[in-house]
Amino acid sequence: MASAAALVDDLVAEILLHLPPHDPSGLVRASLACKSWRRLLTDPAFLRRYREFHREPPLLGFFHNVYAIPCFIPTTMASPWSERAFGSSGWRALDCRHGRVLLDGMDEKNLLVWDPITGDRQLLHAPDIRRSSVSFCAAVMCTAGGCDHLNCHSGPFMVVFLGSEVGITQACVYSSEGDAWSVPASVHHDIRIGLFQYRGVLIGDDVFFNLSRNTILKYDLGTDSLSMIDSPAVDDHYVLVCGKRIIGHRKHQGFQPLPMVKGGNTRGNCRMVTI
Amino acid sequence: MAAPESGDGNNGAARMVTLISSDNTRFEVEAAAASLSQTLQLTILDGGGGGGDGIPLPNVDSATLSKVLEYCIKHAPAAANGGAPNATAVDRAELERFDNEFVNIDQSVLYSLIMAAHNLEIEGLQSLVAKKVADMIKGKSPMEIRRTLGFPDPTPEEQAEMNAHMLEYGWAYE
Repeated sequence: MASAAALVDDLVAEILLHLPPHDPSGLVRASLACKSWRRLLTDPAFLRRYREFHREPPLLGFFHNVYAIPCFIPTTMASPWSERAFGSSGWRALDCRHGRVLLDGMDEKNLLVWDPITGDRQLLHAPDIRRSSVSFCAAVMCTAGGCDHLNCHSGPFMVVFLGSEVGITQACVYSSEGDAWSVPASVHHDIRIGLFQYRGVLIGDDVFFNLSRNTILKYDLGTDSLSMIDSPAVDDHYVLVCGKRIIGHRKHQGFQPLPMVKGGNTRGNCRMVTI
Repeated sequence: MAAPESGDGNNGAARMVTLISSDNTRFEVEAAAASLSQTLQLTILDGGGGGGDGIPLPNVDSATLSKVLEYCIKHAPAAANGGAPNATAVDRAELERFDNEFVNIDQSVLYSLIMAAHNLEIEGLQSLVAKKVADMIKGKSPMEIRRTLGFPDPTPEEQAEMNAHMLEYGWAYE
């Protein structure tokens, strides 16, 4: 009679490969079932295969700023991170992409790029561009060539930072490889509009940000230029998208998490950053 | 009138091959079904398995081979169609229903099947059984996984090591 204990490593690996990625605790529990499984599950070759097999990284949760604390709201049954995973107050999450979280020091001086998986923190001086204290936003992204972003921890990254003042928005880019900010690009606009502090959206080589009055700003990473696009009226409706998933929406009436968001943290008028 | 030649003729007579299990039972099956096995496909392409010869499979007993062939016969038409890109939703649903029922069997048969699928390189069957076993352990604690799969009870040393790891990864047990 065949038994599970008699299975060769190749077959155990094939079974473990089918454990669902949206519940990371399943892999941890399986790794404690027996020594040989633990050896397999911690083998970098298996983990690489696991990522390639499942392709789309799981949504583990999102960040939600409560006053000056970036709270992590898990969307999985069990999570290695608590709500206070970041551990320090006085910071706000601005963006999260490719496994990195970008935080603002709220002093107009410092930004921080944090990798929750490895724990790495990299402090950056905010760029010297004109902005009011509330009219700015930023995006962080991996810049490794041909990267599939399944495991690009500690690789090169960039931060696109935009700041608005009356009638002008400026943008510049930080590259971790050069450890420097680029010369700012500018766009002039109606004096009454400014930047919404919403998360930017990366599509191809362009990053899009929300300006008030139904205007979108496009930063072209290829040419380092800024331009404005008029967007259709959307009835003050804001949708956050992570990969193919919509995780919540916001109206003036307050924040309404969708049913898949665990915890139902419904503090009004808040902003979310997806991980 | 000449008897039709064996082979993939246009007259509907599909080429048959004979497989011989470890306990010497002979199974006659269409070459197209047996060719789901990458290992057998090579032998069959070389002209093996036909006539009175038969291909011996010393690692697969008759009960397991019978199940393996049940899977291969059901999946052969779709596989011949290149993964059946033109299959209708009904065809796909029927294969899915078959697969779900097919793996609804005793664990020992599952393990025999996955070992046979591994030996014979039948990727779809190996993946189907692996997913079934993964579903059996999904959401379970380490001890429940051990019991589900029939592992022996841990030694005191193993238990101590498990306890230490459970403390370290407490979040996975909330």
